[in-house]
Amino acid sequence: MKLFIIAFKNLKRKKTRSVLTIGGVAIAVAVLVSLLGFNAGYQIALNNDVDKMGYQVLVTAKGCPYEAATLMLKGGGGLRFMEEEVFDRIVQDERIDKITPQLINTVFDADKDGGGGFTMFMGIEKSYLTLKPWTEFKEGEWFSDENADEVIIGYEAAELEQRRAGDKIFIPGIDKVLTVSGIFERTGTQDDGVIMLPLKTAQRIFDLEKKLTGIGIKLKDMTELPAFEEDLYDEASIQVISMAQVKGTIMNLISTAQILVTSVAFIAIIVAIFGVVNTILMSVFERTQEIGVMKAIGASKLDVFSLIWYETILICGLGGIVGSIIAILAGNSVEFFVKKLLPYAPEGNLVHITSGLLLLSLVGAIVLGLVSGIYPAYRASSMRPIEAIRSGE
Amino acid sequence: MSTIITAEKLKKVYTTEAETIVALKEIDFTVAEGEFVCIMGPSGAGKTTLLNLIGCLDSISGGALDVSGYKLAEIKERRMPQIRRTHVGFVFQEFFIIPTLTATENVELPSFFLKDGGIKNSREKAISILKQVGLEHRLNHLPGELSGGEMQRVAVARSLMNSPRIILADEPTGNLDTKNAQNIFSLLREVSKDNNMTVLVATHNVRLGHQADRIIHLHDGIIDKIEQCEAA
Ligand SMILES: Nc1ncnc2c1ncn2[C@@H]1O[C@H](COP(=O)(O)OP(=O)(O)O)[C@@H](O)[C@H]1O
Ligand SMILES: [Mg+2]
Repeated sequence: MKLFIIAFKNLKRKKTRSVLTIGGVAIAVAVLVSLLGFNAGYQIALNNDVDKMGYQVLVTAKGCPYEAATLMLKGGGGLRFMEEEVFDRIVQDERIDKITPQLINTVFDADKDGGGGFTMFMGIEKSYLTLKPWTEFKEGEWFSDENADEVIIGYEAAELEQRRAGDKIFIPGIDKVLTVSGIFERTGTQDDGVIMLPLKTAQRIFDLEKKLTGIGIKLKDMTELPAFEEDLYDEASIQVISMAQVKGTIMNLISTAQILVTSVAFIAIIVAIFGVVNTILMSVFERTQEIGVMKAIGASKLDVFSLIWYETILICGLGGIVGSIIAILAGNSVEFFVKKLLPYAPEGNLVHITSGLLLLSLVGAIVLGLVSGIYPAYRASSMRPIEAIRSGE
Repeated sequence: MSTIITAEKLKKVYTTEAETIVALKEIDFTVAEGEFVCIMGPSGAGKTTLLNLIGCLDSISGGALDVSGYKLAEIKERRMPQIRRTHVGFVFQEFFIIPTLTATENVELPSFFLKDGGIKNSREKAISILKQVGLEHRLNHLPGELSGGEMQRVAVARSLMNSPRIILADEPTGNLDTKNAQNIFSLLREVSKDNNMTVLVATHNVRLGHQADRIIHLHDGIIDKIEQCEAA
């Protein structure tokens, strides 16, 4: 313990150098903590997103499954259309607990976000609410009629456009005015940004009679899923996507990005180790005489080894603490960039830093110190006292 | 008085790539417990070499050297640190106190290396030794804030910390002015008398040398003569 204090005082000898080395370790730790935090956070956010869709299986028209998976998460279905009669057939299945048809269409709005953008419209039926029982109205109510010229707006879409129940909205390109019958509360899913209208109305005004983009299904018993999927393989025009598959697909998409960031973190760690070894070795050589004197007044090899080891552990431990703080503070910016870069980013916190993760990174930093301290500490401990003392002459 | 150091045909040879130097050529002498002995001789005579051998800092090339009951010629190198921290205290010409530690911490330092728990109240002991050497007003000063004479006092205090039986001082006054040199020398004498410690001082200052009990005159690795001093 007393040697620890001596080690600490020694860090103050060359302040700039100590600070720079600690900074190097801190950056490596910060990158690593953010990365691991992101891994955990993304999983959680993705699971939450997928679970909040309310269904375990989505039936869509045949097409690229990746595209379908992403589009679906962004709003409920791939933009290929299937015949409504498929729904009429599937709905008979005994194994189904809940089922809801959807028709999604996007409309280009030249005024949106300044430079123009797509607005997503989704035709739904009342069964939508049974699959998403947590959905509540912030104001207004359900469509007055299943063929009404009305919309219900997701929380964020309503915020963005400053809509209230009773307002009229105009759909560009179609020349149609609809009345806002209600606004949903925030759900924390992609549905918050969608404008919903009755399925029949959607089919009518978008000129997509008898068409659907997807069917969301919840089974009574999840274990029947493989058999259920098997049976639907016979339908030539559709494909079945299970949410488990979707999760896997999306995790695949981001794994490339993860490999990249992992290698960056790995390089940062290697650089940090070299930095620490270099700093400590330099400080050992500068103190050759002092180490010789310590040995002359009784320090054993082990004492000297421990002293130098403590110094590296201190540098790395401090770096670990500073790095963790940086990671926590930078979490929001990391999130911002990640959301820009990734093909699909779920709602909610993407970087999830837990106390366990912080503890792990601190332990990791100390292990880093233990490893990088070995060589300098060995060099110091094996110095011969008289030669070390004479080295100053 | 009992004998604490006995050298018989003690020899030290340095082998470098270029040459072989015989720094001590089979010397014989004894030192009694509590004695204050000066080792005098010109530069290169072998004074440092002799102190290093007695202090367990270097290996012996031939003959025998018994220090405080240890037969140093036969002792394994890995046992040397233990003898250094318990039986001898070093004082160097260049002081060699740790610049990042305060006076008290520097004095306390050797006790950190003691095994089996060290000294109980090491801090208090360090402070009392500093008082003994007249530095009670410099306890928390860093070396950079001390004068040369004060630094050497800290070094003397440090050599006393583990209560060794022998103090080895290698030209302790070499970096000090006349007045401070005399003070340090007197301090070493006092310490020796008060604690019945054996002190060996290497110096080439004749005036100081004659304040010792005995002088061992060393020249080219050979003892010229051993002189008994009046003052003693
Ligand atoms: N480590 C060493 N390697 C080689 N030669 C040495 C070494 N130490 C001392 N010497 C030589 O041994 C002789 C005695 O040196 P030293 O004991 O330092 O003398 P003093 O302390 O009396 O000036 C000198 O010739 C010196 O050059
Ligand atoms: Mg010398």
